Parts: sequence; structure tokens; C-alpha cells
Amino acid sequence: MKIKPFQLYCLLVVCSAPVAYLEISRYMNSLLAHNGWLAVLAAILPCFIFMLLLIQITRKSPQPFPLLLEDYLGTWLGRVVGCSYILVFIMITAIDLRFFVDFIETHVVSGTPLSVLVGVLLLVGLFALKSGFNALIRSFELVVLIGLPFVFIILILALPQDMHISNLLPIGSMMRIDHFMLAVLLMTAIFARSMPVLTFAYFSDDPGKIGSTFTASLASYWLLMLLATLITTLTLGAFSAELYAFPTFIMVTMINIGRFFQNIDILFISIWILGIYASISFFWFMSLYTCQQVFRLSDYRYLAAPSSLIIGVLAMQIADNILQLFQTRLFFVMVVYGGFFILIPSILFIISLFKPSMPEAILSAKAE
Amino acid sequence: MRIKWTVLILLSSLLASCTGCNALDINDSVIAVGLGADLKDDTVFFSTQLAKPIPPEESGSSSEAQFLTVTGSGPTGAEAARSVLSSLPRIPLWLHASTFVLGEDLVKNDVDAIVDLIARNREIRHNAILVVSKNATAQEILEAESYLEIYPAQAIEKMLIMQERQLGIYVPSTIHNFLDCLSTEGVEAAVPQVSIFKEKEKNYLQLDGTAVFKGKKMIGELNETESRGYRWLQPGRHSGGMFVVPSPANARDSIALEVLTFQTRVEPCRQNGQLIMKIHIKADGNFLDQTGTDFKLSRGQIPRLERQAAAEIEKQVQSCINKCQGLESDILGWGQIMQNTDVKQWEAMASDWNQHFAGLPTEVKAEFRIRRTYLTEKSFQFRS
Amino acid sequence: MRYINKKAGQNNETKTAPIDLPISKSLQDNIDALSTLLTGCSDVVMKPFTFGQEVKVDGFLIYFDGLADRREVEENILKSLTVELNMIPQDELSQVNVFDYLQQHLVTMAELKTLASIQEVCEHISSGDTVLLVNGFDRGLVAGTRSWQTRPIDAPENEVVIFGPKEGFTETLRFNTAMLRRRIKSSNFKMEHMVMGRITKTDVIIGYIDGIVPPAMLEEVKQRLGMIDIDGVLDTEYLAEFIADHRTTIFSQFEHTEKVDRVCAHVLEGRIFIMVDGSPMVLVLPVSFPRYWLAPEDYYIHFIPASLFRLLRFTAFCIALLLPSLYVAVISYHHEMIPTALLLTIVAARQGVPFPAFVEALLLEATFELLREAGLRLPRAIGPAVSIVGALIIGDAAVRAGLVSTPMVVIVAFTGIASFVTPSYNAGVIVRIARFAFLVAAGVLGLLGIMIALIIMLIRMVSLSSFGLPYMEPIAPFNWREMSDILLRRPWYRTIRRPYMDGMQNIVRQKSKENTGG
Repeated sequence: MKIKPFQLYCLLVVCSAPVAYLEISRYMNSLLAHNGWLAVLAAILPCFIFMLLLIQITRKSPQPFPLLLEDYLGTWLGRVVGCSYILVFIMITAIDLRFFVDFIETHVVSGTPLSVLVGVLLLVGLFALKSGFNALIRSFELVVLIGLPFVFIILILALPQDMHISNLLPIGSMMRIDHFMLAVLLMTAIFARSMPVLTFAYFSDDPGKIGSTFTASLASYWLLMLLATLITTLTLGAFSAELYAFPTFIMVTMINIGRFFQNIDILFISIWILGIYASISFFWFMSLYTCQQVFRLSDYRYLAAPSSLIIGVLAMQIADNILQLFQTRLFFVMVVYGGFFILIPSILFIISLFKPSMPEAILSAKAE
Repeated sequence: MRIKWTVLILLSSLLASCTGCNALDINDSVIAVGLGADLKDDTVFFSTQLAKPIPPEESGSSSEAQFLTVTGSGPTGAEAARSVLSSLPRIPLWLHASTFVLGEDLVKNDVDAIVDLIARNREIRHNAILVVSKNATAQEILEAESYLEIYPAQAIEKMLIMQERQLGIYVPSTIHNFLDCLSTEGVEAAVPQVSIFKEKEKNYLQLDGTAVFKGKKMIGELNETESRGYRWLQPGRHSGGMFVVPSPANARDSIALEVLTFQTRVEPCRQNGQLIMKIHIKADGNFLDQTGTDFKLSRGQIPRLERQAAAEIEKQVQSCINKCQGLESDILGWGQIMQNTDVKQWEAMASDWNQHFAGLPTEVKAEFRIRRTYLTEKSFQFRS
Repeated sequence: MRYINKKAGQNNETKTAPIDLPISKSLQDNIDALSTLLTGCSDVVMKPFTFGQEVKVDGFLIYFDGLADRREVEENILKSLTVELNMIPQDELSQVNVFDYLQQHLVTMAELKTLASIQEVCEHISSGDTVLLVNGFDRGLVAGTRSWQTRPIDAPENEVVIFGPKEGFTETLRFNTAMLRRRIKSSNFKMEHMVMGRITKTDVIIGYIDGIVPPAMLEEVKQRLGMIDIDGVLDTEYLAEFIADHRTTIFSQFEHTEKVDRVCAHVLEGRIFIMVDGSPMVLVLPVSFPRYWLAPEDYYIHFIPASLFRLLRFTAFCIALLLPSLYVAVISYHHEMIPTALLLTIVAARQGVPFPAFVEALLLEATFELLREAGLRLPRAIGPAVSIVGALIIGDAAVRAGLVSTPMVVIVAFTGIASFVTPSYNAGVIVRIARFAFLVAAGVLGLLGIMIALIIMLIRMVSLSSFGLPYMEPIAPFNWREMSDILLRRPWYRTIRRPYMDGMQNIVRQKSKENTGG
């Protein structure tokens, strides 16, 4: 298992960006109205700090992520925390899946039963997991190669439709500081979804490039969120953007190219499936991989089929309606992301400060 | 292995069986080109203008209208819209409707009967053109015909866009603009109006005035001059349109000027402790035509004509401002501008902004530059 | 086991089949054995004769008529033995050294070898050589007289080019190797020989350039070829199915080509080719999917038009793959995507068509494939006629009868045209099959279904490999440097390196001062 720097970059982008694109601008808008982009702007600092923290942990640890817990926290505590990570990853998969399916149901195929869409997406994920890790990571490369340019194109296309610079004015006023902090925290928490990369940075075939890869992925994530929030506010206006469940999407529906191509939202959604597929199968893979490592199993692939059932049922039972889903999700983002993706890595980081740096022998073994 | 394949095939056939039904074949649907809503005694009437599906070999031959307007009624907009299906065998595809007509009775009463539907329903396009009917219901507007265009609803959209390019009276408004104005403080909605005129026993559509909203209600309308003023008052850079000024030589003759581009700046200023709105309009244009021969176009005369044009613009703008202030409705978005420039001031006035708005002194300054005069550089020379 | 059997055979000679016999010193024994073996082979020529004046020697000549060049046999063997032998001093010749003398002085042919067993005799005469047996020697002399009637070298019909070399391979292995050797005049260009097929004894050539090819891959190819046990090899595809990394997939992991220059280009990039006697189709490996979009012609025209053509072909590939399913998805699920004016036209055209769009598309696509297949199989004289009749009459009649709508006919026809743009036949096959899968997906879930099918296809593609080379290389794993020669055509002066393959020995194509790195 060796990962090239570009593949690592794709993993990082895939973990945080696709879902964040749909929800960040909504959170920002509802918390800060037209000042949402300021929070995104400011969030680069905590995100950067978090990134440095991850890099430090990667550099100091002789083990990939779930085993690293045992290394830092002792065998038993490490295992217990590892087990809880399995649950967290499964929950993330399920909630992302449900979130996206609800998004599709809202905007495209309102008549199709929930279970069908959940089933289809799980089938795709299952197929990817069964194809093995290499296929998975290569498919993520395709996802990023197709998806990222497309999203930027969409954003650029949406910009001239109905842009009013005055929608951003007055900059910085009427902003509640607690809301601002909350927004920055949310932005960071969602970026913290890239924590599982602790596993993969270990397998990088070019450890010297981990830093630059992380920076590049943070830059893409940040730029994407900034543009999404900014352009949503610019084109929709803060107050009407606040109305919508998926404002970034409403912005897309307004795109009209040459008074001929219009209503291309479905195109956008179908490309978005790529990102969601990647996001779901990545966290699914993470839960299986963590499971394999914690329980020292020989392979993770045979866990894929049973876990698909768990995820499917969980995704369908997680909320009764979309309002509850949003609430659950927000809670999840705040508490679980905050706890498992920010708090625990911070503890690991503090422990890592007291640990001796890695012996040369392990370092060179890792490099090979 | 075999079990796996069997399960896979079973699953996929299951999928196929339960999703295929969600498809809406084009033969089971009909294209809606225009939508409209009316309100009468708390009952919402929802009208849909449908494009009749006509095979290619028959199209053009028949003289009868190629559209059909159906209207349903119900306690809410959605119910009214769907109730049409009790007499219509096909599902209308609203997403193709490029025009939405709000009935006069609805807007004068309260638009909240329909706004939630418009904002929530994904099948109503937010970049569709919005108009208000005048002296008619939305249903009547959607039943009337238009020149040349097969589908009158599309004609309304085109008329609005073309007139802005050539004539420059009305400012097209989309559903999104409308919702934005309704949900944002410090700005009220203004929507162009459409009325019906009769010609040879047939009803035809025409643009006629601008409806002025205050909150959820329409409280008045702008006539043509005031609508022109409203267009001049749109902040930012715009292009197209024309206007007529009296000839500087005598009052009988007129000169038509074409507007290439104009740029409007609206700034709140504080003068002697008094808040004042400064409006600065810069326009470029061409000389289109003139009546009479008294005015001789020459280089020396151009500044005179430009001053005349600026005065005309100021007059139009002032008439619009007077009307809005009279109606106490800030369709010009000055509240927004206040908010953007001076938050503290705004917060003090936000609660009763419309009263402040009504008494706001203004200072209008226009500049007009003539750039070209088309084929002749002088006035036409009559010789006998 | 084998050892024991052999011992038993030695003890009881009568049980040994004639094919396993070594060449006997007695000419009559050999003639008997060969006659037994070749009973019923009417095309064999067996000529016993005597030569020499003082030392009379019995000889026996055997070859297959039509395979061996009869004139050469007569001029260079029979004539030299019977006539020219008399001209040399007779004292040099004796009963003992006659065989060596023959080999060294008399048979005036370049390709000479000695044989020891009857089996070898059979193998050689089957491939057109002539075998000379001399009484008193347990060796046979084989002369390379292969010459048989063959198709002339021609431009391949299914790989038509306008610019560049047009030569294609023929069914004769030697001509093919000669054509390759003429183009690559390097001693590093190796063409290793193998014989495959228990009955057919087909010559198989594995070609590569030593010093570029990844040695591990070459070993792997040889090893996989070595494991094949089959009675006959008539075409390279016989071997391809055995040695592919992944067997149950529609994605071909080889490139089949008939063009000499294409094989040369591949070999120069470190790839390996496999050639089989009797088939003009050459197998090139490893190949990654994106390279199916490249046409050989791209490299023979200026890079700017070539890049544009390549973009066009890429677009055509997507159209051929997705257009019918996109149409079905849009017509039955996402009507809003079509511009209103266009939709009005489509709606008008679809009035009264009894099938749902999905069924309509499926029917027309199936008809198109039928016509295409029929056009291939029909005798050349009537093939085009039937295609035209099929396309025009069926299409027009179906539209007139109101069975299908005109837009659908346009879509299917357009797809058909686009599918012929793909330069590689293998990629064309993928498109033809996958198109139906996409159609079904579109019918079930609309654009969502298409996307899901696309994801599944992409996952499948990235999980494949061709002899260790990832199938989607250089897109996934992504390699920017090579991408510039996939979507666009890189100018030759910028082509410093060869496309990367794992374990490649020498990656530098052009040695310039700045670019010496590997």
C-alpha cells in the first residue's frame, strides 16, 4: 500500500469538500447573513493550525492511525477509542448518505423511495470497496479530476447571472461575535473530517511532500468554500439565501447560458454524485479499515457487505424528516466532529510533544 | 459466487421495478410556458398557459391559438395548481414557464397567498420573469394573445427584454428579485405591469406601468415617465433605451436621444446635519431624430442639447422619487444603500424607515453626453 | 515418471510410435517411418535418389508441395547433388564425410541445420523447409526453402490512415518480422521465437527492445505464454485470453493492430508485442485505456491539428457512449434541461409514438447494431446496399409509420457516426456494449442512473491492470506529464521521455543537455 502525493491530495479533498460544499454556505448564511464569507476567510487560521497538528502527529508516529491510538494511549484505552472511531465513521457514512439522498429527493427525483437511492449508492460503494484499496483511491483521483474543475466552472458561471456587489455590504457590521466564532468552528470542524488522513499520510511514498500536499488540499477546500459562500451571497442576497435548504444549489438553478442552456441543475447534481460516492465510500472504508486494525483481522473486505446493511438502515432511520436531519447533522458536526476529529487529535498532539522523536531506523523503514 | 450474482440480479431488478415508474414520459406531460395566480375571496386561482403539442406537419397551418390556458382553484396555490389535473390528462412541466403573472387582485390584497409556493416549489424557476396584471386577472392575461409569438407568455418575457434594449421604460423583474425585495429590509418590490388591449375582437398584451409594492401589498403604480425615472435610478451600469427631450430651439419640436449606457450612483450624504440622498447619473447616447428645423445640429449646439437632455433625465427621476415618497414605499432600495454605507444611522431609522424615506431630501444631478449622430452629422437641410 | 517410461520404451522398440523415433542410420527405416506418418498427406513430396559417381550415396528428399519453393529445391539441392557433385574432385569425398561435405560445400543455401529426430523432420517440412536424409547418417539436413503463396502486403482495411505509413502485416510471420526489422535497425530490437499449439505448431514471436522494456514484465509475459497448453493457435486472440490480467471483462487489455508503424511506435515506448504466424493481427501489451483514444496518424501530422482532432475524437467517444442514454434520461426524467424551444420541437415530433423513449432507444440501437453487423458479414458487393437500404428504408418507414420519432433517429444515427470515430476497435467494442448498460441505467433512474453506471464503470476500469500497468494510467494514477499526450498531442520536440511504466530501464527518448534525468 503506497500512496502518491496526488492521491493523498485527492483523499483529503474528498473527505471534506463534497458535503461541505452543500452545507457550509447554509450554515454561514444562517449564522452571519451576508458576512458568512468573513468567517470562512477567518477559518483558514484554525484550519491551518489543525493541519499542522495533523502533520506533527504523522511525523512523530511510527504507526498508521488506528494503531497509533494504542501507541499513544496504551493498548486498552487505545482499543476502546479505536472502537468508538469505527462507530463514528459508520455514523458519518450513514449521515452523509442520508444528507445527500435528501438533497437529491428535494431537488430532482422527489418521487423515488428513499430506500432505492440509499440502496443504489450503497451498491456503488460496496462495489468500490470490494475492488480493493488501490481501485478506490484511483477512483477518487478521477472524482477529483472531474469534479473539482467542474465545481469551479459552475461557480464562475453562476457569478455573472445576477451579481450584486452591494449584497456583501456593509462588511463586518451587524455581526454577532458568538455567531462568528460558531461559524469559524463549524468550518474548522468540517475541515477536520480529513483527520483519517493520519492513516494515509503514513503510507505516502514521498513523506517529504506531506506538508505541501496538506497545504494544497487546505487551499482547495478553503477556496472552494470561500467562493461558494461568497458567490451565494453575491447572487442570491443574504436574506433570500437564508430561506433555502441548499443555497449553493439555488444559485446553480439560476444559471442561464446564452438564454438557451438553463436548468442545468441536474447536471450539477449528477456530477455531485461523484463527490458523494467518494465521500461515502471513503468513510466506509475507514470504518472497515479501523475495524480490521483494531481487531487485527486479516482482511476488511468481507466486512463490507454486512456493514452496508448497517449503514443502509442507519441512514434511513437517522431522521424522520429533513428538518430533523439538519438538526441531527448540525449536532453531529459540532459534537462528534469536535470531539473525535479535533479534541482527540489535539490530545494525541500533546502526547506526541512528550514522545521522543522516531528512531532513525523506523524512519528509514517508513521511507522504503 | 453464484449466490452473489443471484442477489445482485435480484436487487437490480427490484430497483428497476420500483424506479421506472417515477419517469415522466414526455407524452404524459405538457409544457407550461406561463404561470399566473389570482386571489378571489380567499380562494387562489392558479392559471397555467400550456403549449399544445402539435405534430410538425400540422403546425403553422391552423389559425387557432396553439396554447391553452387552464385554471384551477383551491385554498392554497399548490392545491389550485394541481386541481387542474381533474380535467387535464397531462402533467404540466412548470420548469419551462419563463413568465409568472401575479393577478392584480392578488397583489392588491396580499401576496402571501402565493409567495411561499413560489419560493418553495422547485418547479418554479427563480429566474422567470415576473409581471403584475393591470385591469385584468392573471388568467385573462394568460388567455390573451400577442403579436407574432406563438405563446404569449414567452412574448411577455421577450417584450420586456427587447423594450429595455430599444425603448428603455421598464425594468424587468425576476421571481428571484421579487423574493429578494420581499425578504430584505430597506427595499420594496417594483414589478412591471401587463394589460390587455382589444384589436379586431382579439385580446392582445402590452406592457403598461410598474406596480409598486409596500411590504406584501401593491399600493400604487408608476406611469411611463415614472417608470423611466425608476430605470434611471437603478444603481450601477446599464445600457439601452431612449428618451425624448423638447428641442432647445422651441418647445413645439422634440428630439429623440438614444441611451447607450448610463451609470447611476446613489449616495446618502449629511449636509448641515440633514440626511440627503445624492443621485448622480452619467449617460452616453446618440442623436436619433428630431422634428422641425429650428434646432440646427452643430458642434456648438451639442452642449445645449446635452443640458436639455440632463434636465429631462432629472425631471423623470424626480417624478419617480416624488411618486415613491408619496406612496411611502422605498422601491429604490435606498434603505439598503443606507445600511451599506452607514450602519449606525440605519439602525436608528430602520424601524420606521418608510416615513424617513418619504421625507428624505434629494439632490439629482444628471449628465448626458452625445457621442454619435448616425448617418447625418447636421440637421436635415430643406432647400427649395 | 517420464524417465521410467522412456526406459521401458527402449527395451521394447516395436511399441515406439514413428514420431518419437530418432533418425536412423538406415535410410529405409527413415523412409518407412516417414511414410507411415504421412499417410494420407497428398501434398507431401518424397523423392529417393542416388548421387555421386565413385561413392554412390542414397539420399532422400522430403518437402511439402506448395510450402517449399520447388525451384529452389531443384536448383540448390537436387541439381547440386546430382550435377555439381560430379564437378568436384572425387577423392575428397568418402562415404564417411559425405554428410558434412554436403552441408558445408554442396547445398548452396544459407539456412541450413541438422536434425536428429523424425519429429523435427515433420515439424520442419510442415513449415515449408526441405529435409535431406542421407543413407548411413543419423542426421538430417534441413534447408530453408519456405516460400508459399501469400497475400501481398497491403494497407489494412480496418485501420485506414491518410498520412503516414500505410503498410500492414500479412499472414506470413517472416514478412512481418522483416517489415519490423526494416524499420528498427537496432540489434537491441529482439524478436524471440516460441512454438505454441500442440497440433498446429504455430510460430510465435515476442518482440521488444532490449534496454527499454521492463525486464520483469517481459519475464511475466514469457512465463504466462509458457503455461499455455492448447491444440492450436490461429490468431493472437487465442493467446490474449490466456495471458490477460483480468479475464472476465469487456475491457480489452491489449491493443490489436495490423499496422507495422504502430507496432514500431509501441516497441519504442518499451512495450512488448506478440505475433502469431498465420495472423496479421499483432498484440501489443501492456496498454492503458486512455491510449485507445490515440490514433497513429496523430503523430504523423502537425501537433496543433492533431491535438484538435484528438479532442474531437474524445468528444466523439463520449457522445458514442452517452448520447442515447442522455437523451432517454432527459426525455423521460429531466425535461427542464432541454431549452424550451427545442423541447417543443421534440414534443411535437414525439406525438403519437407508442413506445416510451427508453424502449424506442433500445429498439433503434439494436437495429443499428444489427445493420452494422450485417454490413460486415454480407458479401462485399451487396453489403453497402443492404446497409443503405436498412438505414434509409427502415428508418424512414418507421418514422412515417409513427413507430419512432425523428429526434430519436437523429440521435441514434449521430451516435453511430460518433462511434466510428474511435480509432481503436477495442474501445469501439467497449462503447457498443456499455452503451446498452447506460441506456438501461438511464431508463431506470435517469441522469442519476447514468452517473451511477458511470461510477461503476470507472471503478471497474481503475481496478483493472494490464501486466501490472494500471488500466487508467495516466489519468488514475494521475501523471500530469503524460496527460499532455493524452488529451492533446504533445509536439515531438517536447517529448523528452517515454510514457512511464513500472520498471522501465530507459525512459529518456531525447538526450538534450537540460533533460538528462530519467
